[in-house]
Amino acid sequence: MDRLPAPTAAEDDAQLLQRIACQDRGALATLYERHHRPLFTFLLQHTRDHGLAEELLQDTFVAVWRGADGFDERFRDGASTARAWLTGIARRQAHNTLRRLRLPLADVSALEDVAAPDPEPETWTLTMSTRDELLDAFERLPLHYREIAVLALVQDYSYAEMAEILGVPLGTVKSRLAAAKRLLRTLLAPGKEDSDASR
Amino acid sequence: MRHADDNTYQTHHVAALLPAYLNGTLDVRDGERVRRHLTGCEPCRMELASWEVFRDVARSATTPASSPSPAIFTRILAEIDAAPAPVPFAHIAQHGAPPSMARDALALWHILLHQPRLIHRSIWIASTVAMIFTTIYAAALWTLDGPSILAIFLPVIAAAGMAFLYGPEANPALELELATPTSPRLTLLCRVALLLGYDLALAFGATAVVAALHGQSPGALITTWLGPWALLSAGSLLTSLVFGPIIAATGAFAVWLAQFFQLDATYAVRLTSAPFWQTNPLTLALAAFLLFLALLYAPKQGRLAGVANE
Repeated sequence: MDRLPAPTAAEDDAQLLQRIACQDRGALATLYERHHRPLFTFLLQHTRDHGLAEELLQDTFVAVWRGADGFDERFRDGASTARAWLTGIARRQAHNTLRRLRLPLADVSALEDVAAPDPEPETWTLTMSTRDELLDAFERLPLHYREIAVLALVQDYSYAEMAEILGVPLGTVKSRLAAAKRLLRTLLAPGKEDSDASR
Repeated sequence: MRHADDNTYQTHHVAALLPAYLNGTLDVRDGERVRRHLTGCEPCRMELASWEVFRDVARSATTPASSPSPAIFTRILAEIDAAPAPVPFAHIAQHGAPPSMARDALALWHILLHQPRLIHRSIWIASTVAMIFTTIYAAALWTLDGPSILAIFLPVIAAAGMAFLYGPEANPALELELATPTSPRLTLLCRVALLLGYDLALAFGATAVVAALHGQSPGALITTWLGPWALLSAGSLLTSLVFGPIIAATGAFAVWLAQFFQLDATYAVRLTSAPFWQTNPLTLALAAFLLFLALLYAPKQGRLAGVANE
């Protein structure tokens, strides 16, 4: 693959995890400093409770401390990145803890998923809505759509990394992103339907 | 405006690649392909504009109102100190990097220890109860056709357990005290080994009881069910991974029921108490092959990754 070389930070993350596997607390501190904010942002998609999100963040890094050796074994071939590995851990912690506590996930929408996404470009765009309408609609997206939107559009994960984090095939990542955007359009005020006269 | 040829429209547009193009994670070749396509395609440019808006609103919505407490890292260290790392990792920490075989063995043992709790409790209970009833049934009706009762029921009990090894009834609440991801193939192998081992132990036990009660050779009785037991279980597992537990269980029952219908010389259908499958190298080899296919398929099965997927 003729992708541009990975940035130095990604190589440093792998080295940090190797040191963490040897009980290096300084390396854990560095990894925490580097990644705790985006992980916290991601965890806040799963729970509105700020304190619980902090607990999940704490649990995530304790799990990293205990399982850093697993990273070295699995990703030596460079097929994944440390931050995708970290995010996968955070996501599993969130799911398991929220299930165990029988807390609802941060999902305020009761809407069903839209039908299979249309791979064709849409003729109506989100640019036709106001910022407030968009923010309101975003908050009403189900968790699994908000989650993937954050991963792709805020935290800039690749499709392969998201497939690993979410535990789904690559095709599902693409279709779920497209479905998220379609549902966002559906949630927006009526009257913004496709009005392309050429249809 | 849509192109006249809808097939061309669907084939050459790049809508599915636009999120990756937007966040810069496409490789150089795909990125260039998208860039060139956008210069001549207004619908895709509109689509990209929509993704840009989606990105902006996602970023606005996720700007945290407050950051995590600075004390969190202190709490992390306190929790680490309160509960030292499990033995395998402490061993590695103390001795540097041991030979990878030793480390693999430690990791495998660690995974095996956790797997029993990840298999739903009802599977263990149902297997045990069904085996007890089969033993009583076979012992009580020995004079009628005792060996056949074992041969009829033992395979289907094991196959049912295999079908639901990863069903929706699996217990996710206990998942991941190992919070870090484990190889799906290793997870599958450990769970299969545990449940099949348990079922095999129960089956041996049932056979031994019935053989003792009626003065029969346990070995001879075992050969009446071992081959079909292995083959039906492996087939049920593979079907469950590919099509889900309900289809796997239903298919296993249907295939097993079909064993007991035979065509006689006049092509009339007759019921028989002896299954068509026998214990021989072919059935055992086929069972091993189906298990191998299941292991090959394992990484595609998201449920093995540890969290039930939406």
